[in-house]
Amino acid sequence: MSLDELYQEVIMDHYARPRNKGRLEHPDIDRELANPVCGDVIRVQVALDGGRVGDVRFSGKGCSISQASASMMTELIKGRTLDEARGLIERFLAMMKGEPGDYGALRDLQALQGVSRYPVRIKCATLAWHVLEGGLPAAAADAAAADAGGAAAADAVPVEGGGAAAAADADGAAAADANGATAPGKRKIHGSPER
Amino acid sequence: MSVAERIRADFPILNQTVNGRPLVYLDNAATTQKPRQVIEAVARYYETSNANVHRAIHTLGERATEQYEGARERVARFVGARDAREVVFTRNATEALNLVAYAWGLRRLGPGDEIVTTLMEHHSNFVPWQQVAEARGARLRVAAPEPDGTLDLERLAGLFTERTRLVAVTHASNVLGTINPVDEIARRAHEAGALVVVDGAQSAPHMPVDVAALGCDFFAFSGHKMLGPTGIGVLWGRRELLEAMEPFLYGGDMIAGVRLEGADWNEVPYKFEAGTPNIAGAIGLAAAIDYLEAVGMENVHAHEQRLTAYARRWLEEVGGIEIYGPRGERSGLLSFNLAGIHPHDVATVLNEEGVAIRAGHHCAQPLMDWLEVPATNRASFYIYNTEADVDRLAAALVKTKEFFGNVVR
Repeated sequence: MSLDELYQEVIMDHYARPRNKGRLEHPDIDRELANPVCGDVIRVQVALDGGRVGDVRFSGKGCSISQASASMMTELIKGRTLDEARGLIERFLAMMKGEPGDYGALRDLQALQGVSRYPVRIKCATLAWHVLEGGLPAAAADAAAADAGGAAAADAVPVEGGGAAAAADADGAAAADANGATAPGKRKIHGSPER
Repeated sequence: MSVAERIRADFPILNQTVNGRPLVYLDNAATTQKPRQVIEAVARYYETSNANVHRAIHTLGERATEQYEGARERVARFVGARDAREVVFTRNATEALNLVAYAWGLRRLGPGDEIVTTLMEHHSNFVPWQQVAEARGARLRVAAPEPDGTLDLERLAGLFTERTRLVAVTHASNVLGTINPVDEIARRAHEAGALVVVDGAQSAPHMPVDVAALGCDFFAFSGHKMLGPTGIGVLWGRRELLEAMEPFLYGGDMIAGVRLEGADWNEVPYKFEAGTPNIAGAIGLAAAIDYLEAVGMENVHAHEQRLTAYARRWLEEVGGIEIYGPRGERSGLLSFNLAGIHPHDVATVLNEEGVAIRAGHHCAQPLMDWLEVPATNRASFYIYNTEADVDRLAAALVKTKEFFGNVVR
């Protein structure tokens, strides 16, 4: 498989001009995950509108695959019911596992099909989807309580020297993780805002 | 044939193509390839001498024990240990550092005690101390590097107090390439009454190491990063410290005697080597050391200095590349980022060109945060790499820039 097949035009277009990138002021779903392989972080925010995805934003830094996947995901799910969104997540993850099938429902995202042949890159493509996946059930149960983000976790251990400020006390409880919850795939949900 | 070409011929794995191009392997800081001599030493052990070590009353058992203990002596000479009993075989540097954390840190540190470490540590020399500090109510103090990626000795020593019990520092950074003045750090730490544990995973494979000259108390490294097999590592520790420490793992071979009421520990280093050890791994490591010393560690270091300087010039020539870490003497690796192109994308394009580098956080996330990048590319060199390899790296980077050129923001 050639680079041109992996990095198809639509992927590069979304990478260069990501859609729905930014923040929502009052999201009903607000969630962030890190890719443990590279440390990239993606945050997805959803504002619900009568049981549908009214508005959606993503933020964070990442490679072309992760950014394009997140961007296309936001376009695809906007206006969908939560059940429809769950179905699309299921389809996308199946496609990334390389399962044969009709992925027409994923529209432009079919361009990412080639990523399934690059095992180390699959997590790049699925990161945003796992963020959304973990947010949805809570949203269905209680949209108001779905806020999982926002709490800024300060570094418990100060860095000293190198021109940095002098030490504050830190007794080892260096939990940079604000809520400690575990997402599908056993990745930590980070409470801190985008780095 | 040049020296590098003769060396290359000893490494069967390098003689292959990846994606239709001859392989250029530049991920040596992660793990190195193995010369035929190491592969054969391991095979020969299994073909002629395999038995469990230390208690067998038969010929193969004696042979295996002799070779395993011979490997320990080989390692001791390699790092300048005065006594082979100061060499504990572990799985890798990570386990060696954890051994110190469990057998010394958890038992000797208490509330208010302080551990000093740096921001350029690999997670394996950071997380254990973070955990020990949390468990014991101790305080972890972290020194940041200077903007050029070096450690300022005075600034580091400025963190030492009468409560400092341990200084955990890497000899060579796996991201910045910085070689830290461990001898000076150890002297200052000892003046403050602290012990010094050194992560030598990125130094022992690449330069002469003499633990006596360094003056440290513990020194950890991995076999697989220096031509040896995976699954064999080393903790060197000062004998009186090792003798005063409790075991890290319990079981067979580490006991002198067991009664219903309790057990007595075997002597060092065996009390730290519970269970059947990686005998073939130790023998393979000894063969790797033989190979490296035949080349000469000074020559290894000089070769990498030349290649790294050559690569730096090339990267600067390509342009649009930020290189991290100090100029001047450094270990044989370069971490860098191409403006606007994520390291994962860079590594994918390079792999299409048959060039293997690493892209990621290199198990050094606090350092990534300090650099304010999510990840970097890293090209790391070893004795079999040549200037032609660096030329291929540079050409592949040019291609990466061209490929992403129209979308880079």
